[in-house]
Amino acid sequence: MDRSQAEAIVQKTLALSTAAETEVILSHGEENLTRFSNNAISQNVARNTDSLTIKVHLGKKVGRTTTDRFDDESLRGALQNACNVAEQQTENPELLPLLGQSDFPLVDYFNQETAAYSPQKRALTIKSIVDIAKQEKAELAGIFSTGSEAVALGNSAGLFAYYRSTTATLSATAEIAGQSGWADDNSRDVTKIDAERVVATALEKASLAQNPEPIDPGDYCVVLEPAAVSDFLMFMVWEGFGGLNFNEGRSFMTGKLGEKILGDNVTIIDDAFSASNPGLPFDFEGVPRQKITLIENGIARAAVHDRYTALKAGVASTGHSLPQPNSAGPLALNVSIEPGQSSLQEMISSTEKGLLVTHFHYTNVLDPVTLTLTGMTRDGTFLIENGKVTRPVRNLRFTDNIVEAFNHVEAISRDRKTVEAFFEGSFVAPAMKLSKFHFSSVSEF
Amino acid sequence: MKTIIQNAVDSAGRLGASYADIRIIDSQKQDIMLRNGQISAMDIADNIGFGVRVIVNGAWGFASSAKVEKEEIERVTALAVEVAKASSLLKKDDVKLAPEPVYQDIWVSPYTIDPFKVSISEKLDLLAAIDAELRSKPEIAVSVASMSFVKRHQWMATSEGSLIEQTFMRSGAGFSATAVKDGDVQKRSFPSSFGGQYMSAGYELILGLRLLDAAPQIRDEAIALLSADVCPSGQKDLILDSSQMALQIHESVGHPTELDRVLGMEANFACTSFATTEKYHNFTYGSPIVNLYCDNTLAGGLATIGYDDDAVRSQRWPIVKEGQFVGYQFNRELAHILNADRSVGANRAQGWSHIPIVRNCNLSLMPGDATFEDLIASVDDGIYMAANRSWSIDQKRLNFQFSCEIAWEIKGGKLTRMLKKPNYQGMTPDFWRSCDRIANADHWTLWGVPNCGKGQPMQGAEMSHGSSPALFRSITVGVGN
Repeated sequence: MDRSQAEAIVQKTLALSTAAETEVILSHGEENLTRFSNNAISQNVARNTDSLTIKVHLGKKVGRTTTDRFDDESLRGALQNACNVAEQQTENPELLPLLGQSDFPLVDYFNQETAAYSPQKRALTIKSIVDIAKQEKAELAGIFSTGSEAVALGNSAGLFAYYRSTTATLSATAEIAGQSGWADDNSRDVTKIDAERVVATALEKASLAQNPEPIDPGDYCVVLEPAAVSDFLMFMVWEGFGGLNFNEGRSFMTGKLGEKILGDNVTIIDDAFSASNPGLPFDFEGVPRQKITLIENGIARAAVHDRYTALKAGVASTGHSLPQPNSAGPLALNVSIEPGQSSLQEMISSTEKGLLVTHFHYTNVLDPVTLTLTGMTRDGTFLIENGKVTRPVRNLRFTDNIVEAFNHVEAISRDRKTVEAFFEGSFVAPAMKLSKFHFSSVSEF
Repeated sequence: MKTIIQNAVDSAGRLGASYADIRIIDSQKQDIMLRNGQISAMDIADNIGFGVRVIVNGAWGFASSAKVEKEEIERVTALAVEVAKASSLLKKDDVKLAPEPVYQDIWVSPYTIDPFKVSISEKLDLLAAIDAELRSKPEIAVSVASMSFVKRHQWMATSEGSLIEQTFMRSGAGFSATAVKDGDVQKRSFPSSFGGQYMSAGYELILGLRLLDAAPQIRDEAIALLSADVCPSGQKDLILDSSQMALQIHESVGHPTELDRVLGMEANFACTSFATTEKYHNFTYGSPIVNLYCDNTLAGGLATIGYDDDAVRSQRWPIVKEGQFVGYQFNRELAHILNADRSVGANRAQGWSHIPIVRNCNLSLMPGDATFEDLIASVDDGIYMAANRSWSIDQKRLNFQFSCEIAWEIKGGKLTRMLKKPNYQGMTPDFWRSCDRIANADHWTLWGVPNCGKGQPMQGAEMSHGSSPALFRSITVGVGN
């Protein structure tokens, strides 16, 4: 859906509205995903979805409805529903008026070849990497997806903002004799996906993971690859960096702005305009996204805010609102850890005894304020001895306080990777070496 | 509608499909949430669209669109055929669907009060009253009260001749109170965590939950947790309340027995399972008192439906019988792996825009013969934990760590002090083999799970798990405390 198509639907909806204030959020998605397992394509889909969310303000009352039908009659019905909902509510004295137009930086993350990439091309790429896996007597499973999304935001105060992007992801798990290795690659441009590197890395991990031995749980020095680090970033975003949790005393940053809470080599920023993990240039209130330094050399600098949490905190919105109203509060969606001076190999070489972790599985929160998490290693966990990766070990469960663990960061890699966390979101993460990290138990494989 | 969907499967056949089905789903949704007295969600949504699934050259293709129009259905059907032809470039075996009778049927889930005919203002009045009760004490920093309703009307046609119309109604509600003091955050929820209770039912569910009556106790428990002792660490006997049992069943029995996981089809994301096929009818999953059944005909279950998205009639079957592993959850495509005559009807999609995949069904632990008091009395040194707070389990569904909102210590057969930060860790078969007593049917509750994620693209699904409280001997508790 291009800008003119999106604007036509948004403006038609606004023109049909009789409410004092009306806001429209239009989203369109095309997701084409080929799934493979056991060296064959197992699922293959082409999804096409639309959604139009209408919000009306009647005085200090708000109503919201969503529809995927864009004919005049359906839009009139949806607008009427929104008004009916608003009328049944009590007034919200804190309801903020809709914003007018702002200057948003022009961004273009849309790649035509990616948007139009055919299922045949995806299948042939998968076939090529499966052929490589078969030579190694491996079973390959994964996805190759290509797609596009468009988001338009408009309101009766004169705001219109539009964004579109494409995305391509290749993710592969190789299994050899019951042990697995994993790798992925993603880009806005499908032609930049390095399929051979993905399969080679996954195969190498699976090959090195053969015959893992159990080790005792306890405290270890760990070298975390970027995908492992991204899980920690995901929970920092959900539990710590948002203005709502921050205001309500439920964040590890609450009351600590200006204080050193992480290691002095840790700097974390949110930047929707970064080349490696760009995103929407505006938020869902129509505020331009700002680059925010969340942690600077270990010192808590700022949370991200929407207009409501900003008002409560006595600061300005940073442009991180989700569609209003919502229960999550503002979120940092383009987070990265600043690079260090090391490399993965240097981290391994400098480790007398430790563990190398490829990534984690099913990480979850035990305590949101201390950011105590638990999760399992997966797809390649290795013992490091005297500067060398010596042997694979059985997967371990970690249970540790991440704020504390990030006070023991010995090294951060120069190279970083844009990685998708297990549940949701993508982050720019380096490899990191932590001198102390606690594993509470070991699994059977 | 009948003509539209029949045209789609006919069109697929002309384009070379050996099998085709189409699902058109028209759904209504209402999510209302009050957070600290203000509306934080008011999502009133209607949504319609269709998905076409075909087998061409022995391989699957799927395409979907929100535009339910004749030309668009023809375009999307042709796209599904194109996608299937691409799939056939890399196949091992042709897809084989287990036989199933052809059905022409209409199925409607029962309910008494249509929640979409209850006014928004009536719902808001109840949520506001709960919120006021929760925030009547200053220690409560966050109160959340919510309701959620879904009505889904689905038409499905298959090239085999099935023509099925189904209407499903789901209701849910609950609340939570979060107390905050000096960096300690303690949360209590009712009637269960993560939104409360969900069932295939109408607004009568909400009225029956008696939410407002429970608010003072839940609020006070959240506050009391701030000054409670931390759950001790060690090996102790463990009693889980029925809502935590639902989570335990879901993660450590439900997902491991989804046959697509077992066969490696989820290896790259949600992962695999320890419950591999050589263990089928040859593995002790739990103690002899452990009996777990799937039942997609169960009244009130979120997976209760007339027919699944393979057009297979819903069924009841055992997964674990007297501790022995005897069943999987699977679909028509995978039935031949087990030499099964037919599918058990476990293939479901999130909606019209997703392809059906094997999903957890209504899987429940059958009740035992003890009273809850018997369970407590039979523990000398243990912990009683209630209401899930978080969950994590490894990629083969073996090593798990689950935490709860609240616990009480058991000493000498009696409940004693309240404990915060309770959690427990275990290995799935060892844990179920340690199940020593299960409370009787008087304590059995069917809990709705509205937030199960699986697949790529990620799909949400709903199902229910029923259980009574149960006692497990010598479990690792208080990890990291």
